[in-house]
Amino acid sequence: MGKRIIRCTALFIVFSMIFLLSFGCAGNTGGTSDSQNTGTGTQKPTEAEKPTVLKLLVGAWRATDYKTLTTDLIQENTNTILEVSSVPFADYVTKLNVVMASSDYPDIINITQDAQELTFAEAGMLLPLNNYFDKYTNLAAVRNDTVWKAMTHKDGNIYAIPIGADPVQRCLLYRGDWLKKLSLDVPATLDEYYDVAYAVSHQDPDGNNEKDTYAIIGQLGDIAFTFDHIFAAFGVQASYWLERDGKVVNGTVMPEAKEALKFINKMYMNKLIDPEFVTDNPDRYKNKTYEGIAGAFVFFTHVIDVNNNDNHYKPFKDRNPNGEYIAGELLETPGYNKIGFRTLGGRGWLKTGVVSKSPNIDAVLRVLDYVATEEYQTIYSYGIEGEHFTVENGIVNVTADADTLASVGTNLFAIPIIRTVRYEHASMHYRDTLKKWADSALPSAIDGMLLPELNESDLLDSFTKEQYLKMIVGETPIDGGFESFVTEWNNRGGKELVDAVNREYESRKN
Amino acid sequence: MGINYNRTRTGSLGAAGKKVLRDRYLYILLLPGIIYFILFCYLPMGGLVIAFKKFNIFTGVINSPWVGFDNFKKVFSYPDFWGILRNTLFISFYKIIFGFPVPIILSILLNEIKNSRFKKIAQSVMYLPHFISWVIIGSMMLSLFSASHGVVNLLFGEHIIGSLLASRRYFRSILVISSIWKTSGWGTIIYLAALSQIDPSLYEAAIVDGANKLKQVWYITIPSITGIIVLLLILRIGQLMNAGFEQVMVLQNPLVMEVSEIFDTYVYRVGLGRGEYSFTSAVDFFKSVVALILIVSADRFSKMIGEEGLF
Repeated sequence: MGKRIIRCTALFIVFSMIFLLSFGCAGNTGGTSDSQNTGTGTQKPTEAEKPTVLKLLVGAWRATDYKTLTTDLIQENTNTILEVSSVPFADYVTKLNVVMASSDYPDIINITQDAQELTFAEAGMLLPLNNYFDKYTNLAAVRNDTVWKAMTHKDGNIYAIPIGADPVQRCLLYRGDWLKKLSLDVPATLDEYYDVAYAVSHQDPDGNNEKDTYAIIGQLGDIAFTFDHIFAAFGVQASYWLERDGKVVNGTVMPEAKEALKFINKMYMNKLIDPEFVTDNPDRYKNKTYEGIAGAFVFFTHVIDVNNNDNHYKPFKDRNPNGEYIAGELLETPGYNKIGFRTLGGRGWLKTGVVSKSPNIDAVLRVLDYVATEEYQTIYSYGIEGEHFTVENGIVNVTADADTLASVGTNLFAIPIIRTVRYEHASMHYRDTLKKWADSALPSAIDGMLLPELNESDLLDSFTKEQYLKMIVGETPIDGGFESFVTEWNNRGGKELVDAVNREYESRKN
Repeated sequence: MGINYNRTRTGSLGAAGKKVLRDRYLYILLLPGIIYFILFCYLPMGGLVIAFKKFNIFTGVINSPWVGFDNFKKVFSYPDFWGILRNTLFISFYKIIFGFPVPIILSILLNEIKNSRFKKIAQSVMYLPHFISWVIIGSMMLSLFSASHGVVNLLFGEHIIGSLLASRRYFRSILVISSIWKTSGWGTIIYLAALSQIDPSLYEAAIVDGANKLKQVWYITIPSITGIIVLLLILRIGQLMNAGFEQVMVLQNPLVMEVSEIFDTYVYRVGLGRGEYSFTSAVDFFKSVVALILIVSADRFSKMIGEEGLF
């Protein structure tokens, strides 16, 4: 009896495990192919009218359910069903590499790095969109010639559509209520800025008897954007390509950067910079911006846009009803020529591409063409006129609240080819500030250049970040330390990179 | 049901074959595990060949060009490589030296507890950290070590401006201590099982001979579990090259990269993140070869000193 039980149990366990293992090996035959049946109910199921299922791989700031009005509009107008899988931007590059290496391609992808776009294009994985411009005119018109030129590869093809976001989205912000309370003016020079920064950090502007305010906060130890205003006062930007005397140089290793680092180090040692800017992840950082603990820092201009319901303005206002941000000026310091902030470049920070091996090219292009229409762009930006917003004298006034807009799906980055719509935004102050900082900004000297050698620059950039951080927090003395950093930067491929960039720059001039 | 299998029907199988046949249901029970290892551990080893190729994800494994030892040359000449090797070895060594004795001591202590209710509660509390993922512990630690609100910084006073987690001097210690806290409780299980096997009459004889508690532990308890200790030590040494990927990944920040970047995090960042599959395969190949050498040496060494070893 006992032996029989063992025998039966053994056989049962073995066969059930082999059975389960076989599921693991079978993989894709299970789930995805029968979503055709979940299409819109009014469609007659003849072959010609069945909606095409399109798979999208996109990046997102937070987990989103793409069942929104904006998605439905696309599906109805182009006879498609969109299956969107979104990945947080922090992991997007890795995920895209993995997905493109597998055989389960999506139809539409986002691309965040130029290096990836170059790799995929060279391997023939991206569809050359220019071949379809005469048929899909809305798509062709969604960007101007300058932008399309920046997107053109050496072989003359365009493989991705850049996001039409503003080139500069950040500015130098001060807590206006704190400045008033401490009787300070908006600073114009670097020394005045230091005084203001010291005051907002140490003179308890939020009135709670605790030293919990800082001038500057940041995330992930990022140098770019967080300290742009200080580098700009000295006439350089870190990890950025600038033109000097007809040649291209990298701001990272210029002597002006050393002076900027000294200034930042002085701020850090005097506790004007939140030390957690090295360890904070984006969520903690965002929370701190809502709490409002920084008084003189670089942040998204959207925070002064009263129409910004879900992302920056409203959450801050909820927690700080008397708080207000005001935009500052570019700082200057004697002996140096100030420059503007860095721009996101004509190629944009986010692009949309079509996988060439997709079996649904026509449907994909229909979708992209439809998304590029002005009618869709307006709904995508503001919702439906009359229901979610009104227009008075060419100025938009958003009337719906954050939850309603979320269900409409405004500004959800599923297919990020939004462009600035023709209406002026209600928040004129926001528009003016955006324009002012965009006008003063400095485009990269190599904007739009697609060079394989540039693929290595992110390794150099992370080395730069490590070394800069050590100098900022005082672990490495800047005198002497900066010089050895420059030598090491050049040895690690920096010199070759600069030479390659200059060769390309020269050839483009002709 | 004693059917005699030693007859000529299966006579050609020989002695070993007869043993297998006799225990065939046990071997069948083993089958799924063997299939799993073949499918997911041995077959994928063929993919290691990309360490010798310039792998392009689009042309595939077979069609990528062969480059021989070029990737390995790149690996050894890469300036950070020796730092990564040093970090991996140091962090692992610290974890073994300081972490390995802890479950042993804990289990001996637990074994001595008379109040069984307290013993059970203590055990359950000790096991708990093992079940919490590093991601959660990581964010708990970020708050604990926070520069402005963290408890640890309050104790440390004003000596350090930033968080301890961002200081190169203390980061490895934090890694080791938190790792010990998380894994020691779980490690006591095996030792407790071994301790329960010790014959109580040995203790009684020792008491008669006038041994105090400490002498009993030293002369009876520890020698009885020496076999298990050596076995687990060998296995642990075989894991030397895995310094704890999840933990380091979660707690790392740019300021401590120099002291905390280990093979696994590097391969993840550069291999998967930047798509440099060949280069990082070469790195991992090297890591596995070193691990193999270590485990074989540890096994030989244990046989030399008279213990049983693994194989």
